Amino acid sequence: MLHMKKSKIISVLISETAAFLRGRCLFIIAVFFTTGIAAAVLLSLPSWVSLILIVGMAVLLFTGRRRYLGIALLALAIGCFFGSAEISGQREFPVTDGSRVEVSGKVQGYSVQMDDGRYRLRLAPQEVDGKAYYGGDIIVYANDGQQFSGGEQIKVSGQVFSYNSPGNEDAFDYNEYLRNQGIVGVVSAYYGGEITKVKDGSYFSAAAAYFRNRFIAAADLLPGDQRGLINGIFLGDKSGLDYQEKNALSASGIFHAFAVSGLNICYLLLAVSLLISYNYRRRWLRLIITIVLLVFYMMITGFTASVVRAALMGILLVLAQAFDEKTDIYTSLAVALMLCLFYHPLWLFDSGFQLSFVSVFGLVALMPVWQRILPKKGWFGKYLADGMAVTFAASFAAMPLIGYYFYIVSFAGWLISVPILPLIGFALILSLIASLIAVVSVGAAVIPLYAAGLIMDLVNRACQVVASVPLSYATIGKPLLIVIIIIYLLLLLIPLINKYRGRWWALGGFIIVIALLLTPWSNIVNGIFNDKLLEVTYLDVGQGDCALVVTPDGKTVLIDGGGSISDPDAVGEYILLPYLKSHGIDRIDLMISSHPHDDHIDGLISVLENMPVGCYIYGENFSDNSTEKRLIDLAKADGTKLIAADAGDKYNVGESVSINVYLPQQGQVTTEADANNGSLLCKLSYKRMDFLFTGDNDEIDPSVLPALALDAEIVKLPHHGSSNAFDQAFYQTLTAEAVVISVGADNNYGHPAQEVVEYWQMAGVPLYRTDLDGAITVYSNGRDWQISTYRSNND
Amino acid sequence: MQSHSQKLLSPWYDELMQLMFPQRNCLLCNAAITGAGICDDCERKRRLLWSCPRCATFVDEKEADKPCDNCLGHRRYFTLARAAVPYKQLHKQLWDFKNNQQTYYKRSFAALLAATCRQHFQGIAFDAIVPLPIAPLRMQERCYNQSQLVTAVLARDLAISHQPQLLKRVKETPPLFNIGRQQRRELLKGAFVADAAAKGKKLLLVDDIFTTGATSNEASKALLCAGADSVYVLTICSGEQLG
Repeated sequence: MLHMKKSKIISVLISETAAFLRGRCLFIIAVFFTTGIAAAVLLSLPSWVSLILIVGMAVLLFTGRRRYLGIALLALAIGCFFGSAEISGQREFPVTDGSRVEVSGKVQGYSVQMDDGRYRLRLAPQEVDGKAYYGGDIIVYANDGQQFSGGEQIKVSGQVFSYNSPGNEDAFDYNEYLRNQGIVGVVSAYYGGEITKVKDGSYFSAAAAYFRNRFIAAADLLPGDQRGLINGIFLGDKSGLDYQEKNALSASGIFHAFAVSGLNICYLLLAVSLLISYNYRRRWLRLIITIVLLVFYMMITGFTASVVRAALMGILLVLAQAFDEKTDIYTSLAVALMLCLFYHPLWLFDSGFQLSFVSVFGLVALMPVWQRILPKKGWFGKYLADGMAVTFAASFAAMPLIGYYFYIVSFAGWLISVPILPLIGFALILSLIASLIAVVSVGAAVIPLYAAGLIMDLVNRACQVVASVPLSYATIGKPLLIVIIIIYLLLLLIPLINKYRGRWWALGGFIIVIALLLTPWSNIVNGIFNDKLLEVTYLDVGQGDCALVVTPDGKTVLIDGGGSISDPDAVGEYILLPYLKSHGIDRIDLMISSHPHDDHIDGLISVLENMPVGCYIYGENFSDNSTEKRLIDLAKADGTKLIAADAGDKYNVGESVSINVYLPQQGQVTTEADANNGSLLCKLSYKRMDFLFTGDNDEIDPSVLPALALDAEIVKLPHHGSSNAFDQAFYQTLTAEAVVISVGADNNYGHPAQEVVEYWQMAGVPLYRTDLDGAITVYSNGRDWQISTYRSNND
Repeated sequence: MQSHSQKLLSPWYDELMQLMFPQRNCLLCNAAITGAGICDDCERKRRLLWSCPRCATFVDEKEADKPCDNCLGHRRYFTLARAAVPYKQLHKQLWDFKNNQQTYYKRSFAALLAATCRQHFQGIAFDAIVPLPIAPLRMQERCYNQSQLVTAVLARDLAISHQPQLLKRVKETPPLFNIGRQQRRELLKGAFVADAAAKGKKLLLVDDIFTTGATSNEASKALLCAGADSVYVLTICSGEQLG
């Protein structure tokens, strides 16, 4: 379209858009309806505004001459109403945090086992504390052995609680996630709570539950890895996949296949057509069987967004056949979209829902373009071209969204999808057969299921290999929203570029899409306004220590990684790694651990397992420590350079940043029980700016340190501000301009101690706490510094 | 007799189908249009075609004043036969429609026939639309009569009573393509029987293809024998006689 006159481009755009929309009334209505929901939620419109809108548009529709405009605006207004009703107070859970409550209602979906072995389920309450309730669903936490399934009526007594909002930039906000799933409250029946079943579900839902449980029983007989993978692809239950599996699958772009959806429904439809070969006379039989099967499958998978989308489109397909009609895929997509959003308006903001719709749209719109780009000749054209066109089209459509939510762009994914999708399909068919056999005999079902498990194991291994190849994917950091929007507009134009300028221009368009995604726009935007600065971030990792340093020349230093005793992987996988990825960090140049305690090293283990680390520094005194050994072994296996450090060591990071180690002293011996006091103490310096990191040292004897050691502008106070570490003699030797306490909210240790907080208040030195301020970032040019906290930026 | 439910359905049934399962491409050139059928350009071109004065065969403009080879020397029982487009323009779609169960073509074909009917049979008040029945054996294989699928839609569109029961096929005939003009007539003799209810009616007989006109002619004869007032034939396509 280049070289055309501007006016011509505009007229082509208008006529092509008009041609695309022609006859697709429901598509247009869906666009307006969706826009209405988005507008109402993003602008937080109150319900009465949208009600007025509806009345106004209806009047316009029945009196005005422009009927079609009236219908479209009415759809917009109705969308507004649905959106505003969803976010209005009426849907909220009427009980405050911490208080006890009695709820009775209907179970939605199935109990899901969590990492700690206990169960979680979704409940549509009908009565709350004896009063009728019409709001959103809630999550109920249940103890071991308390499993329920869809349709059952239960009574829950327990305690209402809510999650802490995240303390780090771009962190996953669980509250917002629940909200988007239509969940407005959380009730725990863990301590002194009780759940009783009041009534069984309908026969149909009981049958679905039985079916599901038999399948799970068969899958439970498989080796651990395979069980998770099989439950993932067949039931959409991803809780059995570990972080590395998920990571490898998403890095190779296969993960979307695990959001059970189109692929599964396709194979289900295929199975029906094999069962009842298509014959005009049997079209009604086929329709009924397909609908029953698809509804059944939706129930088994617990009505997740992508399954509902695909199943609705499948039902429309057979419905069309029965009525001697043909589906228009864009209209089907629009109908599925509207039906989903009628039921769950906030699904619109769910990443899985968005990916599901965008992938199908892209698949249909971009496949013909790729078919023209890929060569048609020879064996390639015969066997590979079409399959590649499908995966390339879907990959490109999903790529910007995956970049936006998961901060990666996969290059190998499109290629590996070509052989892998048929393999997954094969595993799906075997699972489908196994699920039928399982009803009769769980033991016999293991045979096909084991074959499926082996295939999935192979797929998983292939993905891990691909993800470990350098350049198979790139960590891009969180892209700017405006860039994502521009990329989607460009993707919409590509079919037109293909039509008017030919396939090579279209290929150019795809290359520009990748280039736009890979360009670090946020860094460029920041770079215009800021000079190169040193950034030191004390992350909110709950109860624990973790500091990330990015030097002016882009080197990364990680000092401790946080962690939790109850769930060793949680901090690394849910807080630290996502934070690093969202900031485009895919490599740690220097990693330092102060001492081998869970709340300092768990995150480091996750980093070592998932990212290249240039160099790892630990205290010489811990060389024989068994926990430290684990990290040392991991680092060795990755080829990371190992340094056992003690007082007097100095390391340069990049050109201008250096790290001096002052503790442990040379030859210091530290017992396992006294690990805190063997913590590595170091100072990071950039020109005239110094940061002191003190680990968990309770007893710092200033006399053994060189005077220079304590001269730091920013000091992380030792041991999370514990009273054990309250030492006025040490504090008085500090010349700190600001102090930081890295500590979790409501921790069991009473950190930070009152006297510590008061001391610094009296001293007039600003005190920052990760439990109150969230992540704390210090920017410095080597002379001046500036501090910014997550909460002050976001409240 | 058009059933009561059919009358109630008619205004919105097809509209609902168009809304849920929109057809939006010209049957002939694939251009984007609203609704089933053909685009304005193709319709304009279609209207410029010339046919034999009696039957549906397309002929050159200069031959249009004399009967074509198919009609020459034979008695035609129908009053007038007309087709929408030449066979070569639609043979693929028609083949899929009849043999590959792509029955969704019915709305496009009905729209095309409605336009043709309005063009050629303007002002004729038909009492009923009758689809040409297919051979019983073929019905068993295919499970649907392609002409009847189209006439059901066409009848709603033109607001004419749909009466497939007026005409029955009683004799088995082999597929007629590749069979000569003379033999076709012999094979088809006595193939159709019309219902007495046809008496006194002006009928629109609809078939998919008009090749030599032998089938339509035989069916028309049966209808006239049953006392029909007159029979007009409308087909989706027909052969061409060139030069």
